[in-house]
Amino acid sequence: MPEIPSSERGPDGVVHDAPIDVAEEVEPRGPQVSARFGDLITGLLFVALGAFTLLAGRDLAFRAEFGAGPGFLPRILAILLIGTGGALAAKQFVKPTQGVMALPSGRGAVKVVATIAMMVVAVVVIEDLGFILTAVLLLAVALFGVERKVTVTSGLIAVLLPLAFWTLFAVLLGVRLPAGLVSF
Amino acid sequence: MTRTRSRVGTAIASLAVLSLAACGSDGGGTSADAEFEAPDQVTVVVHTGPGGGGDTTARQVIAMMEQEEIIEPGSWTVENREGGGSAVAVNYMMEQEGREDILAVASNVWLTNAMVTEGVEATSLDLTPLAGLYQDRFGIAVNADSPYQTLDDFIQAAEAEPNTLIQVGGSNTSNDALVGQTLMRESGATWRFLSFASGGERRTALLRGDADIYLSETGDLSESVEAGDMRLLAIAGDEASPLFPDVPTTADEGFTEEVPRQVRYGLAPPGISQGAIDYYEGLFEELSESETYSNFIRDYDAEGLFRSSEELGDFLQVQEDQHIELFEETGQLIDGYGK
Amino acid sequence: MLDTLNNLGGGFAAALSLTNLFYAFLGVLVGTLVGVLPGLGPSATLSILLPLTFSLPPAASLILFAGIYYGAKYGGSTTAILLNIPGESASVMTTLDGYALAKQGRAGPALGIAAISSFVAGTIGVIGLTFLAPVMANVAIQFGPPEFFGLMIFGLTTIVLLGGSSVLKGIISAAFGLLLATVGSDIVSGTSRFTFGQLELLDGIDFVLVAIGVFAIAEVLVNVQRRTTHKLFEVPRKLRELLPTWDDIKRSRFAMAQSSVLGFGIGVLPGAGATVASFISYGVEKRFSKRPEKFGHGAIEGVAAPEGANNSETGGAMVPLLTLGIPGSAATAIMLAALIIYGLQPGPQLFTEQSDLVWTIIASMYIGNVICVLLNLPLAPLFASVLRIPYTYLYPGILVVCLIGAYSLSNSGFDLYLLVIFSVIGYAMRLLDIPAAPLLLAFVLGPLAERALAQSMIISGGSLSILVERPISLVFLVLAALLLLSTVFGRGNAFRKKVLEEDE
Repeated sequence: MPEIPSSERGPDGVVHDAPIDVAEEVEPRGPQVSARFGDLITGLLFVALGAFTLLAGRDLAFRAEFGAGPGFLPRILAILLIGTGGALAAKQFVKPTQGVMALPSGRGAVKVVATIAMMVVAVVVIEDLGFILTAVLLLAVALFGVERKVTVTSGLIAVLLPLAFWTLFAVLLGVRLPAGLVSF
Repeated sequence: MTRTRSRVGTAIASLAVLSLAACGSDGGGTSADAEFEAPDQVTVVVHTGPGGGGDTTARQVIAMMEQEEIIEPGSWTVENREGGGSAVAVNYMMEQEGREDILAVASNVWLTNAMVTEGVEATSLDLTPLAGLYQDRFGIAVNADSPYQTLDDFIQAAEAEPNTLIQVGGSNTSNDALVGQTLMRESGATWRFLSFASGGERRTALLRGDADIYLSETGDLSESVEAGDMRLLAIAGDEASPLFPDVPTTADEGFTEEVPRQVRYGLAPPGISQGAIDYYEGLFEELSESETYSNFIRDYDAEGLFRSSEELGDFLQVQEDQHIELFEETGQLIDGYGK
Repeated sequence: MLDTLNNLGGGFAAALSLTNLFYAFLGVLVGTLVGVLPGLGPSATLSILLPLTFSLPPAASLILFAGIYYGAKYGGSTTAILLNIPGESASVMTTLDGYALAKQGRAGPALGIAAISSFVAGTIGVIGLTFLAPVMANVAIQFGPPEFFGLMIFGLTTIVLLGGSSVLKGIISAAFGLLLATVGSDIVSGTSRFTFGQLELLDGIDFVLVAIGVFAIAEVLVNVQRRTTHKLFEVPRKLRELLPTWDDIKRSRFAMAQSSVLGFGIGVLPGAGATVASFISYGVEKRFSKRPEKFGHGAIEGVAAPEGANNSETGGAMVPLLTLGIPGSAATAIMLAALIIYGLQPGPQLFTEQSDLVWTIIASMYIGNVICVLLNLPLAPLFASVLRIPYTYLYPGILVVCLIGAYSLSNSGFDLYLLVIFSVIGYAMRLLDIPAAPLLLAFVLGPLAERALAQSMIISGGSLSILVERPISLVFLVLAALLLLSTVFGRGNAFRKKVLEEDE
């Protein structure tokens, strides 16, 4: 039995719905496609991956002196992927998967893309700017930009958390984090 | 990112080696002879993670030097730079050019890695040799109830059944594989090589009967031999083992070719002053003359062969040539190696 | 028997000094705190903290070691349950039901059961080590590459059948995981595969990157997409609801029992490791459960089983480690090195020549276990309350910690790029409803199986028959076949029943 989450009054006095976390039981909002389409795409994706593997691994020797060479397993896996991917795609025409696949929409999609973009930027600059600066930027963009939570808490977290992590990891535990421009 | 760094690093290193060659090896020096001050903190780079072979060796060396009061306790610390065989560590050392407070404790893989792995450019020859610490002694062991009583028995059996008997060991580019290869070449017999990652697995493979012989450092084999689980057929090379004086050497058995040696040595980044080289070489030499060290060598049954900075440089050159030949034979040498 | 108890007593006497107890406590505390951080499982934690142990006398440092190890294991389970981040492959199974329970507001009980089950099974594991070590050592010797391959195949079969509704997607996921694992240098020949010229890929892709990306960050992205205006899950306020109930403990009885035995047995097999132990135990629990459909959706025994198994496995893994010098995992490899540095030579002589130190180690394992549960059971409610933090503030912090965890693996910026790639892949898999657990588990087992097969073929000279000629490997392969057949026919039966019902 799915647990029905209860509503409660939030700190601003307004009743919020409790978070949706069991998507199968509740009608998802926003755009959806049939699960059949989703599985079709999945099948085709993996067929493509299998084909790519065959291409990229064509120089690997299949057999070695005693049994399998380096190309043995990749080739078998590629064939397996093409087979199962193809089967999954073909199945959609015979006995399609039931249900729907929820797609991210509007605000949700933007936030996901923004989060990924944030991570990419962070990863690119971290070795030059250093951990502390990058973390501060990441937190700041996430909290103020993506989440639009322009509060004192956000500011405090964005500054104090990277400092705390640096102290704990880099200073106390000796983990090597990129020092970059700002460090101690 | 790392790739561009390594290319730039190699370029700088090549320049450094050239300048070092120009002024270093004849003992004299020019501007590289700036005042050298012994640093308080020295970092020792190793190519394995904590607990790996290189890490253990470095820690043992440091512990011995501390015990002999050659260095202050805690002044030398180990830094792990694992990855790509020894590639990450070597590249890192190349980047430290000119720094005189950082060393590395290296072994064969620092030299051979570039020969068998694509895309690895620098080796120990691009770094500054400080001192050769010791050599491992290799023994050829069989299971206690093996039918082979002498090395010759085994060789004859191998000749009778080419490529059937099994030698168990580490990776197929490691020293035990290469010693086996040398024996095969000289005797004309052939056998298979079975790799396991850990010494324990290799030992049990031999005990289980999955392998016929096991080449390894005698220090590792000694316990099993003393327990009666294994027997030693021969010691690789021409020097008998003090721990097993009755075991013949491969030279005794008629093998005259020089066997590859597994060596442990100290390196420094390229482009350091002669004063720094002399300083560290002196410390290692002091260690090699101490009692703690000779106890260690004895317990581990290694060959305590100290090599000075210059001798090490020459030896590494010889080792490179020897290994190029060996890897060419097995086809493991990557195309275009040999500069 | 009396001798053993005597020796054990001696070990306790040495281990129970006030200083040593302090070190045990310190170890568990530090281990837990570090292990809680995503991406840092016991192996990573031990690597980081290992240098600290070197400065102490052997007995104290081994106890500190044991404390850190158990603490880190528990810390890893904590993030698995609270945040769906498996710190080590052994925690992957814990995430399945653990995180589901957390989503239902039952993170506290999940953490509590994890602690209790770990303690019970872990203790039984050490008891097994105490009394059965010499006997099991003989078993361990017979376990060579063909046997190991059989076990891996059995393991892989188990994973595929664990994937939820679609076996086909489970296979695809596992195949994908196996493929990702081939990136790097081929084990036998050293040829580089799919590295596209990147030096950093020569050693392959680190498991932690895949785990954090596909599990943790994908989860963050899914939650970001949905809603972050409120705290993520209901977290109960009453203390009673933050601890496991008697019902929970009753339900977990069988899990604790079987995971103790299975974990120890699998741990004894050299190289098998906690991962295999955890999901075989999970599989067994699900197979014999009265409510198998609940697994994956918050079955408390689905947490008890893998948690227990990966702790009793420690006791088992010490058998090949101490008697044969064979490490079963990265963590035990570090332990092995530590032993060697202290002058202990693992091997058949260890129990006779160095018995004092050995029994001290074993005693300290008991102690570490006890302290771990004493410390962490009360902490469970505290950890669970972390989820009270509004997700808006929580998830950016999680992202930063994931970056730390990923970077600390090899101090490489390249790894961070991989992390982002796997995060996107993981998110896509969530959208497409492809199960992630088979990918991760196949990723771990695949290379092990491949290497074992290659070794077996060298022994046999190229013939596959060795796998069926040797009894132990034959047994595992038969078990795998049986498992496969029973699942296929089981589904066939259910399908047939449904058709018949519809006809009526």
